[in-house]
Amino acid sequence: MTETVVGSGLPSVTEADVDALIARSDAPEWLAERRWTAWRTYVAMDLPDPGDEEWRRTDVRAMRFDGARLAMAAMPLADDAAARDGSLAGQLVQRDADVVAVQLDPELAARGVILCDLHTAAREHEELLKRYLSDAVRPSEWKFVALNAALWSGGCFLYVPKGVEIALPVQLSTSVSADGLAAFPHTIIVAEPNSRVIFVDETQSPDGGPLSPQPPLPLGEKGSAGFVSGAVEIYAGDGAKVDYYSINRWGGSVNNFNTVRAILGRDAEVLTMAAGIGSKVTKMRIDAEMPNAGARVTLLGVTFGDGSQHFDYNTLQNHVGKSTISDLQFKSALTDSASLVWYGITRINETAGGSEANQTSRNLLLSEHAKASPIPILEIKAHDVSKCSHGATAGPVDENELFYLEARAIPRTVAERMLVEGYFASVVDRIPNVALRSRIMTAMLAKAGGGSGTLSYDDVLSA
Amino acid sequence: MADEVLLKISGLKVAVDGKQILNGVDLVVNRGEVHAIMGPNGSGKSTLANALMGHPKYAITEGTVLFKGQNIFGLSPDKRAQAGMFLAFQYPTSIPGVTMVNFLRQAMKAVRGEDVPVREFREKLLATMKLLKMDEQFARRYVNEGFSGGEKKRAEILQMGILDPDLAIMDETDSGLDIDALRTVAEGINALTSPKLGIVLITHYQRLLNYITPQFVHILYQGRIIQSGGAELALQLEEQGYDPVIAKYGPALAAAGEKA
Repeated sequence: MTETVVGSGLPSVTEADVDALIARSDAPEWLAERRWTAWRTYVAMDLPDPGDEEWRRTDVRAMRFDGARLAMAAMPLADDAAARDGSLAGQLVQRDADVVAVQLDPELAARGVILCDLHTAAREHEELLKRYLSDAVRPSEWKFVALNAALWSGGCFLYVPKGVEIALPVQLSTSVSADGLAAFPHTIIVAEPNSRVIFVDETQSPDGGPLSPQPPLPLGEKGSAGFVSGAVEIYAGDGAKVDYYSINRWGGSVNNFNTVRAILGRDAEVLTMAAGIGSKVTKMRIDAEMPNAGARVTLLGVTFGDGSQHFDYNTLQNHVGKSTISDLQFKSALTDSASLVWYGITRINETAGGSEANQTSRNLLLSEHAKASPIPILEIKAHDVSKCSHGATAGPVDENELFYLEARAIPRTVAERMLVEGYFASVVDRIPNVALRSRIMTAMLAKAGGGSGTLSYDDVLSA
Repeated sequence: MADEVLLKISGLKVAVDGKQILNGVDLVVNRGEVHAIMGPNGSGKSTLANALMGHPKYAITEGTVLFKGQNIFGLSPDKRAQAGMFLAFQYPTSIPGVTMVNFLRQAMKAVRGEDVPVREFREKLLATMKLLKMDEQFARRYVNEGFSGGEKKRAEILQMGILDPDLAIMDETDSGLDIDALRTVAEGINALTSPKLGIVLITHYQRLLNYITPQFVHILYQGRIIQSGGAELALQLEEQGYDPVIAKYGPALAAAGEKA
């Protein structure tokens, strides 16, 4: 077949890996063929040109991942029965290349909800998988997406039938057990018309902080760069509501590439939240495609960067259907020499009359070496847009806000912490699920140096 | 406790962005006293308030300020607040994401220097909100975020009630209030007065003084107190405006300024 890719900064994966994966997972013919097609695309494609606006600030050609080898069989899970404390409707646990635990509320299973890895989906729900795999996130998009399509393993397939509403979150916990591994998570969420689902996608590797509710992972070979290329495909049918929460707690050696794309049906509602905590480098694309009328999208992001972490978010709010609504709110706080790029496009096509769009990116610089480049792009082709606004800022903590708190006896260090906390809370508070809200807030604050010990008003009233 | 010197300002000069705003202010406030500081726009009223609280933008170039006998110049704003000083802001800052309840709890804890039992905090909070005719839901909102003018001023008095200071400096607390809100705010301030508390009311208009009677009224003009008197001085200003006072003292001040 094609030549093995060697001698570059690319991860050390070869066509033998594709072969092994196909053999190991006993893939049906069509799926094997798709993997090979994707592999050929991967080999044929160049890395993105640093002259390309979206890659200028994260030059992937200058990065080296050649130490990263494909994660294969999973390490056994210490506690195979993932915690079921009644707070989740279902859970899927992926370690390295394999899914090691799947649980789903039996009542939901009886109503036709499917939660399984992609190999199982290929066997038991072949037509569904054929239809949705790599349809929203296509291998031809860029080199590492092609690599994901060739080398994904394990993966997550969630299918929610028409009209089924799942009140509790479904959680995917993905972890890589050692530094220096290459992993290719792939998630497909299909929400049929008028269904409702909340999906939590939490990722972790050594030194990325403990992933609830499992025990901490053993440390692997330290210092060796990890490589992750993930894809998340969200299909929200007419009138469906999907919340997707990504909690990025990859370890500090991981180069994390991720593409999330949601395609919305008529009057569908999608909310995504990207919580950026871990990784060495994260290059994440979050796209909302609204080809149908009345769709509504909320894209939220909170990132706390320290050390030399680099986060680069590309977002797209693509309005095609009439009267579609999108709102993007990304916030970051950066310290040390951490850096962040947000390059966000709002596109209101000619066909999208009566649409409404907003995008704001706020970046708090907590050290003089931290850097943020928020870049909003508006492409308006429709003539009767009902509202379109954007804003982007980067700067230090507001002196007047600090003075106000200090004038109330609050010491400067506590005041700064409160401001950072409040800064994130005003985004996180938009999460409808209260348990998730506090979970994400706790994770953010653990990174930011501990919370200021807040209580909700209800806590105070019930004391 | 009354008659104890709470605040003693001597020859205070303050500059903002290199521009001298206060040109030597002298003022003594004892416990239990209410002082009104009045003056036209630009006379330095807010500068005095912010400099006393320690805003970093306001540089003290000369003079001393003793609070309970201690020179406060070396103290950061939080230490001044802990010592018992309070500033009701003219333009309270909104802080998105920080709820009133958490803000007030942190502030109360900071002023006391120790944790406040939640139950005690709740009782204080609810009682003070009731006093100020504030809805209980108010505490859920982010600090000053989306508050109306009246809500902001009431929230300042709420903070004053919870922090229980020895000295309250109120910077144009009456501005932007309609007559009902003004009455509520004034009643709140009156309810919080005590023999231990000294109040400095900074105002442009006399109308707040219809509700809170000061023992002393001072007129600030071009960064100096040009006249002091009793409550009757405020009434005189109400009738005649600032012009007669300025005509009488202003030129002399200008001349003194040129000499200096």
